[in-house]
Amino acid sequence: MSARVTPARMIRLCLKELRESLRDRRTIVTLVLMPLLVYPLLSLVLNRVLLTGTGAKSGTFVTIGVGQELSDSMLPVLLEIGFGQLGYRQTAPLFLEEIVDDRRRGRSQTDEPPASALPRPQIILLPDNGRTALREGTVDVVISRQSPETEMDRASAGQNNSDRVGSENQHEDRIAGAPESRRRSRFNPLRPLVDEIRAQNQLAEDFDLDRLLDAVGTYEVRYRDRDAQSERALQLLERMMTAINIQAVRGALPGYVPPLLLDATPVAMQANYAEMLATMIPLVLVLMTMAGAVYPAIDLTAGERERGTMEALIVSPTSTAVLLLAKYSAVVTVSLLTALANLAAMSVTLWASGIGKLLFGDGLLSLGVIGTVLALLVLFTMFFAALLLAVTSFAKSFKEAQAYLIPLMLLALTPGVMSLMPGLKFTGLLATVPLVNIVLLARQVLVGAAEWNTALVAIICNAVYALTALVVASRLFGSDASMQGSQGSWGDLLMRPLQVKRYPSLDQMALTMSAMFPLYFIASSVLPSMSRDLSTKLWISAAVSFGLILGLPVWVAWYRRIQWFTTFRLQAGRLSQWPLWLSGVVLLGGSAWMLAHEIFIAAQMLGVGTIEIEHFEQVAMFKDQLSSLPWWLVMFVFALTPALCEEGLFRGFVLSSLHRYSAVWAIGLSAILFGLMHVLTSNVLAVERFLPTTFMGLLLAWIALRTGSIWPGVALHALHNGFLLSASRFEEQLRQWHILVEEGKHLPPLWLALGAVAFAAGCAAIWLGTRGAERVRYPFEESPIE
Amino acid sequence: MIVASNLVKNFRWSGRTTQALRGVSFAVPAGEVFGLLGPNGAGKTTTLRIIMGLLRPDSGYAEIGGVRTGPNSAAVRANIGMVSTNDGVYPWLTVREMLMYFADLYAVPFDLARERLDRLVQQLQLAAFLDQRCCTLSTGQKQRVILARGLMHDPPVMLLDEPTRGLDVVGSQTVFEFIFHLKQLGKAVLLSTHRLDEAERVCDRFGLLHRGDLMYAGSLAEIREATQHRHLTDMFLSMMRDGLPPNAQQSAATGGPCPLE
Repeated sequence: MSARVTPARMIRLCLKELRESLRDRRTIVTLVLMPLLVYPLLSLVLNRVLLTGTGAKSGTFVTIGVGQELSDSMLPVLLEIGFGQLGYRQTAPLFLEEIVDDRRRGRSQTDEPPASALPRPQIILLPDNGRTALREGTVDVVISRQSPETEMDRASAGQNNSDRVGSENQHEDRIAGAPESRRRSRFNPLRPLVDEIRAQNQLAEDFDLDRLLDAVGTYEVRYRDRDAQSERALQLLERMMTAINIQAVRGALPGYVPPLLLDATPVAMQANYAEMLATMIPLVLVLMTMAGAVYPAIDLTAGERERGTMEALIVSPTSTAVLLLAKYSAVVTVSLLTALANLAAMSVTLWASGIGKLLFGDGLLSLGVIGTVLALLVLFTMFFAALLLAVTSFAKSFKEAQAYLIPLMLLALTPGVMSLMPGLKFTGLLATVPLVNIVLLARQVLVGAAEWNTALVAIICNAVYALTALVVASRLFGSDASMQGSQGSWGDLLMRPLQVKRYPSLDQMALTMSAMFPLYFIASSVLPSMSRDLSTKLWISAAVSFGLILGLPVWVAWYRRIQWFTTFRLQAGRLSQWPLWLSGVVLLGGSAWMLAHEIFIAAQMLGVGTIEIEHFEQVAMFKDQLSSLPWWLVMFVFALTPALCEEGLFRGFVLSSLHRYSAVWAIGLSAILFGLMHVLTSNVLAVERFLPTTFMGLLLAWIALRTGSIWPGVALHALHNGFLLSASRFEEQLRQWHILVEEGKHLPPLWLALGAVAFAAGCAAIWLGTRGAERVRYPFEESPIE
Repeated sequence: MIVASNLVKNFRWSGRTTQALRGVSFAVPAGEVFGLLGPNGAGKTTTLRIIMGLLRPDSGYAEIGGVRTGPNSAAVRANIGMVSTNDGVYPWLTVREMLMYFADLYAVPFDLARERLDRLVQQLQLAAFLDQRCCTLSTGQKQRVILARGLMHDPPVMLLDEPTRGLDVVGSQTVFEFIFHLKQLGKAVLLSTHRLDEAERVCDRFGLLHRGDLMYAGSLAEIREATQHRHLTDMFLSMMRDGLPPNAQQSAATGGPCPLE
């Protein structure tokens, strides 16, 4: 009986896992209850952060209470005037609109009010001294007139308290406590202001403007200590009063402009907070999605062992890879449901609390953005679920799994919190760091500034990591090591095997690639920049290539006792084959670049291009720099090094690890990996490089399989690169001979025709040179070496 | 149907080596119940694990229907049904869902699986709780579900690892009836147990395992003759008291008692 996996069977296997997870109460708690609780709570915190952090801002207004003894005073009107001086057309008090000074008015009429316009404070008349209202939070500050005695005391003691506004004013000290007739005298400091309003003649006829003069005096303001809202109200009050004082001085001295003017705009502050919050939201979403995956991952792996169902699973003829895939899809599904629940709860909370509008304006938190964030969460979940399964598959019990997961979660939190740093730029390097890349990408999406080539790196990295984690998980899941009665430990897994093998396995390749990928990315961008000298830089980058691209697979093969000779196809072939091979290689070396070039142009025409003009300039500059170096060095670094390293990795290690697939699949997969590596590790993320490089990968892999040797490929690769390098080095000469390929243009038809013929002839030569020869035929199962 | 040939297995724990099996050989033909008896730690479970292909023997081999078992032998596993003391059920699945899931694991076509389910429901009287979630079942009911699970793919070989541990008289009786039923169906049954009374009731032949060695193998009459004891319990006690009898050493050295080969 075979255990062939039909789609229907696979779906039924997945459904069982999903049923098991979704019927469990504990899953439901994380899935439904958590988002219902977390986001409303979070919105409270966010509100708090916004209020303390951003000062006066639209949508949040303060309440100023006016004490009972001021109930018939003109202070509220004066405050309105003061606010009018500060502000903006939309919020200025209506009946005094025209009294704002000319400069201000000019500005307010021409300028659009900024998004963060000052909110107009609410002024409430209180029935008492207002202390209760202040304590209860009904008002944010209470203003009352200072009793004459305290006023005198303070004045004489020369106290200067921030609670009092304008106390330095000499007029006030003189007038304070004076009879009403004195207040109304021509020395009243408010007189110029009142005169100006009268001159404007905008107020109602029966409004006794002189009553405004009564407002002169010292006031006492009470506010709640260490309360952001209250402090904001105090600030606003101070600003309004200062505005009146300045206006009064201006009226007294026509043409007077205060020597120091301050015009603070809270925009920068707001942007920082918005950025921070735009990171916090995806971070919270990511963390919640993680939380959603944790329980099912443990339950479906370590849980199986704890329930005693694992052994029955393992003894079934269904492979552990299939079992794990079913579990993986269930974990991803539950995790995504959690993500959806969280996203919905978050969107509703942001919308209902008004924070969303505050953060992203009106249009930004659209369905499209939410959809993109969801897609990113899908990607993240696919990676994280695989990682979780890899960890929990190893555990023998729930407890053990939890013990493993706590450090993992902490580990995941660190880059997550790091990504909260507002100044952190989402660059190529960070795009390779798991979790950080998703959080930062989501932040870019949320603030509407996503760069899609960095995004592509993040996406591919996540996919690569997910695949690797999955491979590791399926190796660990139900492995001999995890069963009772054996001596399983991590050490066993990494132990050097005793048995010698001829070819690497798929999981060894996946692990090697996913270790090499970020390492190479970092090393090739960091190490060469340590030197200023170009030739040193080139030497370093060649060393990095040899050390990582070639060195890592060579080391892995040695450590895992996989024979180098077979893995890297080191056999040279028969001498009689080489004349044909060599002619094939020369023909292909001279013609393959034309096809690659045409594919490149086609890719650009299809609109997949990302290379920008600056890049061409950089390339031109780089070319100039290269021309100052010895020719052999350039050829060594850019032709021979990649030929040896990349052939060793892709046509050696990678292609050998794909021996269980048919030749077509093996060639295709290795070529795609080859193409991806070139897109991602070059200093410019050039997507249009993918197709021509993949094309070259197909050709080289075919040659490697056909000849059974790495060397024709190395020769072709070196020839191909050398040819292109020479063309750019001797550009001038070529131009003189009128044979120059222009950047971004099709080749002349005659060239193409000749190129196609040479290409066909080259392939034919290789084919003829290998006809009838013995070679390894894919697919095959490796037989152990005795 | 089941052949174990000179199985040797050592476990290494932090530098110390434990000999779990020291050359165990026996054979079980179709339609026979073979009791693998021994005290705790004798090597019964290790033997079963090697036969299932979960463990690789250090030397020797195990075969099912002429095919060697090993970690990659999916075809062999499809021919084995396995019921063990430690087996559990899926608490959140119903009995029906769980049994159908195992049919899927063994790639039993859907319609055939339903037919088998109906038959097993009758045989093991599962109808009353077929659509209940497994977490609501009693121990005896769970055991019946586990027995049914082992038969969903109708394997010619059945391995039972202490199937009555923790069951009351009624539960044990169900297991005995199940074993008789398997015998009638012509299956080769390997029963590992330390309960000698039940082994006497159901097994055709026995193998006495002690510290990794198969001390005796044969029918009850043969073993009685060899050990001069009437009951398995006495044989067991004397075996543990006296250590390795000379004839057992001999049989182990010559490849063990395999009367069927």
